[in-house]
Amino acid sequence: MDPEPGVDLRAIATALNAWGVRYVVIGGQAVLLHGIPLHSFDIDLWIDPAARGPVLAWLQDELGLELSAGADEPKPMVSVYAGPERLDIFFVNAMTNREGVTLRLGEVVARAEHHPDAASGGIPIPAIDDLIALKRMSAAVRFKDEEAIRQLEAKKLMRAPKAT
Amino acid sequence: MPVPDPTRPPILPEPFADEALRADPAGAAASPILGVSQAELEEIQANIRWFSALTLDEKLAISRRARAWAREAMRATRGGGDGP
Repeated sequence: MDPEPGVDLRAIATALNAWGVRYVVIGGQAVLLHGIPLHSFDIDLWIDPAARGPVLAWLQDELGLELSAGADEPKPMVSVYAGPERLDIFFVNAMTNREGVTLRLGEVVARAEHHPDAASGGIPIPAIDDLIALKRMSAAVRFKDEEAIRQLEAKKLMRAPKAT
Repeated sequence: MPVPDPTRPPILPEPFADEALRADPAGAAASPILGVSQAELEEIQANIRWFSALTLDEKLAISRRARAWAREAMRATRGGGDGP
């Protein structure tokens, strides 16, 4: 039980898992859930656009979160505020990064790993290679993304079979 | 004599730093990751091992504290959000 105001990722994951919505946690929070001690200012989710209406209504009506202006317009990203915290939700079927790599939600969800959590049934995070590609989504190279990529590559090496 | 600044990591005096390199020459070698030395890689992986061992609640609590700290820092510098 966490008394501090903010985005309750477990509550959101519990609901999305129960409804069978296709989604993954992305951004810095996904890096963190891969066991990498880097942090970001907000929480990012990539959710099936088909679930947009019900998910936003639930966040607003049940969790009491505040939606950004224009949330009812067909924009690909909606910001949701929980006290001082921000949750950015991407409602798109695919994203293409600055290197031209296209990631499709269905494929990313199929390859996703799950952080174990009995309460929610597990929190889905992109596989390391998908997360690295997602970290190259911004038009400009950003230090924090490059640092996350370095550490994700380091984690990959930890999983690689040792040469004999 | 200068007073050490507790907010900065200690810097080894040159002779000790040289000695550390001689004792562990492989530490300065390149790792499979571009721009990361073997010593850096091992430090990153040790941090990942430590952080991975935490429970979800512990990870989320640390993350929340880090976000609160970052917001304070942002207010101080009048910056903006950081995107996905």
